[in-house]
Amino acid sequence: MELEKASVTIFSQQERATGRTNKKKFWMALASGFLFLGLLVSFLGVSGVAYAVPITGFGDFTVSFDKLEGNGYTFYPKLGENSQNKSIPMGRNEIKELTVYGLKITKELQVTDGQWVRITVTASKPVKITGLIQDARSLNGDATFNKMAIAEHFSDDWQKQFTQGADGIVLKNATLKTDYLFQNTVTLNGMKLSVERIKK
Amino acid sequence: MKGEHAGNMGSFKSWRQSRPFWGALFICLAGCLVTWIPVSMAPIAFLPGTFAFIGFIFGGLLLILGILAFFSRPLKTFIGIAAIFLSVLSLIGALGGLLLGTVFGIIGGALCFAWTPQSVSEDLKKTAIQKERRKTS
Repeated sequence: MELEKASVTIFSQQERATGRTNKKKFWMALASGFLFLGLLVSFLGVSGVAYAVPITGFGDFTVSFDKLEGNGYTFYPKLGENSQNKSIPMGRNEIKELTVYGLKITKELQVTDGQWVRITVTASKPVKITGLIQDARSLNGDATFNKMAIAEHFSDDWQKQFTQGADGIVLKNATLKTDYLFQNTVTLNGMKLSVERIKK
Repeated sequence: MKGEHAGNMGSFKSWRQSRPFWGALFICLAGCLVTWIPVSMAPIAFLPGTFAFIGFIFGGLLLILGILAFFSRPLKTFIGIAAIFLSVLSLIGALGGLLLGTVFGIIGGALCFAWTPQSVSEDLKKTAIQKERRKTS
């Protein structure tokens, strides 16, 4: 009797649906999610492709390679930023499709007072890139252009007043001081990453 | 004043308990993280041939799903599955919000999927019966 009374009193309160997490369902869903993630990552790993890879905000980093062969090259001047300067003149290189041989990317970072580390990314096999956008402050190398056009354009925007373009570009033994690098797709087969302490 | 505050807190608590609150919150957070990557490269996100704009779509959809999860309980299973799917796919074009977005999205989606509605009266009835049993024994 008392039991019934207690339950009736409680029933008279406003009923509101609450919820609980079903642990079995939660772990099942979580495991499925991470399994799906693992499958996608392994697929990208097998094909060696990472999509839309931005490398920026690091300040100057050095990109060097033995040879670059590209199609659809455009260059124009612009103002950009790096870790030391908010606005600094640089040139933007855009290449639609390219293959890079002997790629090496290095970046030196000060981790604590007087302590420096160098991060090096190398690719032992040819690197295939599409949709490259790169901002550089300096470029050294032997360049060969195919159907190159240098043009001035009438525009209020100084960044649009001058362009250099070519159907094909070949760069040999080049070193570029880079501030921004974006690749639509990149295949980094034979990639090796190393971090070492250096003295400066 | 104190009582009013306690009342507000109580009503918020019951509002929170009546929906997959934490799941929805995690999905919203994942949406923000996934959107942040293409926003940070906005000048080039819409260039022809780039994948970055996909990050806007994935991130935006995750945000919508997260907000929906706060207000639409019947859709919680669909929202959970869709959030997990989109969070993983956001690796393409947005690097999964530096992977954190993907992880938050999977956790949020799983929480939404696993959330099961119950009525308060059932819980209270059980507790009351247990109390009475203890008293009588």
